[in-house]
Parts: sequence; structure tokens; C-alpha cells
Amino acid sequence: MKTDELINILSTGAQPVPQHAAEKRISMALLAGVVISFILLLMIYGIRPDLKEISTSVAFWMKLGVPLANVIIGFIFVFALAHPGKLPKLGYWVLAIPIVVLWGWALWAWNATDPTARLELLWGKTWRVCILNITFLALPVGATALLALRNLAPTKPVLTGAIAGWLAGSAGASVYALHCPEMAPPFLAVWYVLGMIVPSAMMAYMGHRYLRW
Amino acid sequence: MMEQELRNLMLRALDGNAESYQCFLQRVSSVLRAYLRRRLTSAPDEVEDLLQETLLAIHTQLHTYRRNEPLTPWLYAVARYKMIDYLRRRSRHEARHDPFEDDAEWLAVSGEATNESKRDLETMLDALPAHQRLPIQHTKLEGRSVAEAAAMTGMSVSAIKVGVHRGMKALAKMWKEQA
Repeated sequence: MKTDELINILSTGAQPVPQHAAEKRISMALLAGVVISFILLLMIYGIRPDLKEISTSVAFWMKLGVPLANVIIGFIFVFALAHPGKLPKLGYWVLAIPIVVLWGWALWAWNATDPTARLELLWGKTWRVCILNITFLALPVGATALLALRNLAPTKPVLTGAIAGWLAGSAGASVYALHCPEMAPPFLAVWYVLGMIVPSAMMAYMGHRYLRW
Repeated sequence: MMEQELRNLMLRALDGNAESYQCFLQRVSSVLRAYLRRRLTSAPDEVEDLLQETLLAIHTQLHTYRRNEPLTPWLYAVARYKMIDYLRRRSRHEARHDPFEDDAEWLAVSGEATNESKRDLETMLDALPAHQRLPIQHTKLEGRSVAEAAAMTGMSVSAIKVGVHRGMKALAKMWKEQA
């Protein structure tokens, strides 16, 4: 086939391309993912009964704020990566800021605690299920993000997948924070972060498989 | 200068102006042909295939260009992605097949530039389901309006539009897999 023929076929009957369609699609997808994740939380885990009492504590806001910061920063990167030729305006190190803050806080708490009581801070009572629960609650967000990204054009599919997974893991963690009884900073610094890394690795693979165009 | 000119054409194309879009694709194809030729010196006969694949990608990804941003970075990013994807496929293909045979094949078809690829869109079109094939045939090949195509097929106007869009994406995918 001649290239001119192809051009004629492509341009014949050209339709207007809707504006901001990509922005709307990816935002709606993530919103839908978070809503599904929240419904799963209500159905399976339930919200912790003392939410009102702890909602004034620093620990609770750190636990919610760090993953939410990850979600916002992750979104900025995923959005840029999904558009060809658009470089993220921030350096990739910005992704690490919430985690550095969390670890700083955890180390401070670790040092301020009597050595005999430290292990309790790290292991808590629910470390066995933490990673699994966060990954489970990340699944809806990961799935909707993947669907939205398949309609866009990431030129680095693996990296885009990984950061979308990081975003999904963080969204899962912030939803899970409404149920999870753990409040110790070292627990959050280890298990919550691992719970974000697992979806990130899964989505890097999904990016490799499903985000090529 | 190229940026300004291409961007003006692109913005009109995004508003649905077919003439500007055709002109845009023609300019882009000569720019990208030169770009790909410089980089694929080992396989000059593949340039036109890859160029057409890139044009198809530009077409199916038009919505990922944001109107307030410069156009050339977007264009080159799409072209570069398609080229890297092609090289990746080719090296995988060569690992499985005898590379000498491929060389002989390239030598055999090597000739003057005809701006023609080895693909045939119409045979690929036959592989599409009717609800994508018919909208493309009526609107893209025979140049009918969406409303006419809807009346002829008994499909709704939006089903025609969706069929064209999804069908073009499916063709772009087939195009890749044929390589």
C-alpha cells in the first residue's frame, strides 16, 4: 500500500477529537477504583469503631496523609508518562518525599521508645495480613488505572505501570487505614510501604504486558 | 517554523477538518520518513512499513496530544516509541530465525523508493468484525458521511463513530502483529 493511500484513508471523514478526554477518563477511572476499594472495605473489613476518637491524633493523619501524598504525586507522574513527549515537571526523587518523612517519623519513635518495647512497634498485631489487605484493596484502583492507561499512549510502559501500581497501592493503603488498628510509626514505615511496593511490582509487569501500543 | 506550521494544521485537524488533517499527515510523513531513514540505515526497505505504522499510531493516539503543548515533541515521541518497538520485535524475530535469510530478502526487494509498504490494509480490514469493518469501509474508504453510513448499515451514529475508532485501533494492532 502506498503511504499516500493510507493518508487518504486516515483523513477521509475526520471527526473532531474531544478536548480533555484523556484527563477526564483517567480521573474518572481512578475515582471509580477508589470507590470500589472503599465499598470492599465496608463489606469485608469494616471501619474501625474508634475512628472518631483517633481522628484527632497525629498518627492517624500520618497514616492517611502519607499514602494520600503518594497518590497525588503518583498521579502527576502517571499523567505525564501517559502522554507522548511530555516530561514530568518534577524529578523522580519527589516520589520518595512522603516515604522519607514516614521513615524519619518512625526512626524518631523507635529511638524514643524503651528497647524492650520496640519489637511491638514493628510487628504490631496484624503484620501478617497487612501487605495482603493493602494489595487486595489496591486491586480495583490498579485495574481501573490500567484500563484508562490502555486508552492513552505511555512510551515507557513498565515505568508507567510501576508508578500507577505505586499510586494504586497507596490508594489501597489510605482506604485500609480506616480499618487498620495499628498506630505505631515503625509498623507503618515497614508494612504499609511493603504493601505499596507489591502492587507496584505487579503493575510494572502488567505495564510490560498490556500497556504497549 | 515546522512546529508552527504543523501545529496549526493539527489544531484544525483536531476540530474535524479533513483537509488540514490530510495536509498534516503528508507533511508529517515526509519529516518522519527522513527521520526513520537516518536511523534505520540497515533496513531501508522497512522504513515505509514503519512510517505507515507510525502514521496509524498518530491517528489512533490523536487524543493524547494536548492542544496547549508544543507538537513536535509529541510527534517525535510517538515515532521514537514505534521505532524502538519495531527494533525490539526485529531482534526477537532474528533470534528465532536465520538472520542471513532476512538479509537476502532485503537485498532482493531493495530498489528505488516507491513510498510503498508491504502491507495491505484491505486484506486486514476483512479480518475485522462487521460492526467495525462496515463503518470503516463506508466512511473511510468510500468517503460517506457518518449519517449516511448509519442509514446504510442500520447502525446508530454513535455506533458508527465507535466502530471506526475501535476498528482503527484493531487495525493498528494487526499491523504490528503481521511483522
